[in-house]
Amino acid sequence: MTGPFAELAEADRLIHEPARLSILTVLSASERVDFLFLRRLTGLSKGNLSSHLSKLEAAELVAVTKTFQGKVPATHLSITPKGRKAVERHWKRLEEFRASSSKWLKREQD
Amino acid sequence: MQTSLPTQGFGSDDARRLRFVVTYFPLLQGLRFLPLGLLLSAWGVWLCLPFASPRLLRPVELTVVGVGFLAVMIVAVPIGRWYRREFGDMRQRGSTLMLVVSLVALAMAAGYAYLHGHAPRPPPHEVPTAAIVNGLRGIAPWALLVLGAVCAGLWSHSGRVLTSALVEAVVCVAYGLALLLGASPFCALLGAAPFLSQAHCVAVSVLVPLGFLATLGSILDHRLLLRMFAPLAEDE
Repeated sequence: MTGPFAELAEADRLIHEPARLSILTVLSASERVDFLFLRRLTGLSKGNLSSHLSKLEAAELVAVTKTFQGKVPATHLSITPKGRKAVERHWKRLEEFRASSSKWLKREQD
Repeated sequence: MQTSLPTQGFGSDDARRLRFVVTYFPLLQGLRFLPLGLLLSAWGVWLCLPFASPRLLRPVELTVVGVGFLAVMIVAVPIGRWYRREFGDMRQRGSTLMLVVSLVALAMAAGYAYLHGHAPRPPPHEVPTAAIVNGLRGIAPWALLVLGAVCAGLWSHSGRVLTSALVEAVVCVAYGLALLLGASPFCALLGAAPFLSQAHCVAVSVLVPLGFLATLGSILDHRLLLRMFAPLAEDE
């Protein structure tokens, strides 16, 4: 594999997965969200979201805080500094990839 | 507009949609602002009625308007709870929202002060705040300019998508600047209307369009929020 596609293959697989990238994008744009907000915004099921969050938490990209609001348990999620850096770097890389692949395609067509 | 994320990929457009919702989530809770829009419209319409006082605010009317604003704030509490129950909760980064709210409040206070300055001057014992009013009039252009800059910043930050709240803010800024420059476009049109006294012309020309915009905008924002959030997915 040559050209910009080689770069994409190197992209962080943990972050590049669509559901996890959407989770990190939401978290990077906010200070803190609750589980329901993230679930509604990403369209993921409860089990699916929990599974992705566990992976992101294990990689120290996301911090999970469990509290009680009265008698109701509440789960709050926030992005760690490491996660913020990683997702920002990833988006930058994707934008660079888009720009370089457009150039590459143009060159191939010529 | 998509209602949920694609299963095959996640692109820049999806990221823009998510950032937009996160940035504007509090403002997209349109039903919170609906009572305010209705109150402003009702106040503007009241001033058009023949038995309205020639002064902008008598103590009785001030009390009614004050109670109205209090009711608007009280009603916003259960509406906010409903939004939290349905869509969850989030905290914005930094103090962006507080800054915006403070600036909007400042601009509104400045606008009110300007209107008050143009109404017939009541006896001092009825309005003991002349010095504050004059002070606010002095900062009105700055408040409007800062508000305009904040709107532009928010628009750029959220991926250059407009919400009705932002449109309302921009209209207010434009109209406020027009008033400060001595022009009152709606008042010029309404001035000839038989149902409107000259004393209320500026106030009505601000309250009615603003109330109408806030009412319409709140409904549109609520609909936009419903479209932006996916229905709750169940585990298979």
